[in-house]
Amino acid sequence: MQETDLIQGLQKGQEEAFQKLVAMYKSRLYNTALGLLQNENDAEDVTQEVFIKVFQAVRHFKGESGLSTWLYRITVSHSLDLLRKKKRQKNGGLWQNWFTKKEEEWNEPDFYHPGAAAEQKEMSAVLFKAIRQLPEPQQVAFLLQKMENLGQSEIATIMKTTVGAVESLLQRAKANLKKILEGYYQKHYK
Amino acid sequence: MNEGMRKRIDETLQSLDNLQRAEANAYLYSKICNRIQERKGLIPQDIAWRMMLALLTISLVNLFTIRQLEAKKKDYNGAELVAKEYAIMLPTTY
Repeated sequence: MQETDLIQGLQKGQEEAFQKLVAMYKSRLYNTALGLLQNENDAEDVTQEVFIKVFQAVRHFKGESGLSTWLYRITVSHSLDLLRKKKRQKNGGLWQNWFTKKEEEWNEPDFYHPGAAAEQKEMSAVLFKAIRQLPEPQQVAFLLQKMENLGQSEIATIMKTTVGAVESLLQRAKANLKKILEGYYQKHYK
Repeated sequence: MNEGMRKRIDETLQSLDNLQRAEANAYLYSKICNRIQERKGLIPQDIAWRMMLALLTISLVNLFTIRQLEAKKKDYNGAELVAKEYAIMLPTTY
């Protein structure tokens, strides 16, 4: 089924089209949400919510961007919303948030991505914790590139920005991750 | 920074390079359909909020009107009310 047929089917409310859409994109969206949320239950919850949103809003989809771009965009936005909500709940409001040390991020439980090779599980868990400490746009750009192998132009469309901006986000993300990891290994690895 | 640490940092940064995509739950489609069915009878949250706000506004307007009417009633005694109703001039006492 072509993408245009799929969209038309969805807009007509065809169950078969919706089933096809879920089968085609469920793992991509789940994987993206998993990278951002670092929690399997939350990632599954977000993936379900994304498909429900698509089911309800596909009539308004004008096709200005590709279907996958639209789906990734909704997934990123839902994941970030949940992440912010959880952060607020954990930190107990704005005041406490200001006094929360970045150090506490390292005390979060380890996240082992199910797709990581056995010999890289520990290192990827450290990297995921470091990614959590990046500013949101850097996290999004870095994870979309690493986890979904998306190109800079596709990431730019998803994030509604320019290719140049994505390039700069990725460079800054890598530089910041190096700094964060340096600090971590100085403390934890002798 | 020593060579060992630099190597470790580089390895950590590359640890996501060969990551396999995580597979979503095989029953995801059924779960989504169940969630959609569960929500069909429910009023969407944004509409529910608007309805609550409208109800609150109507209640406040009602309360305000009742208080205004009661205040007006207090301004007149019984004779004055009848006089006002039938447009009769009451005798003034000095």
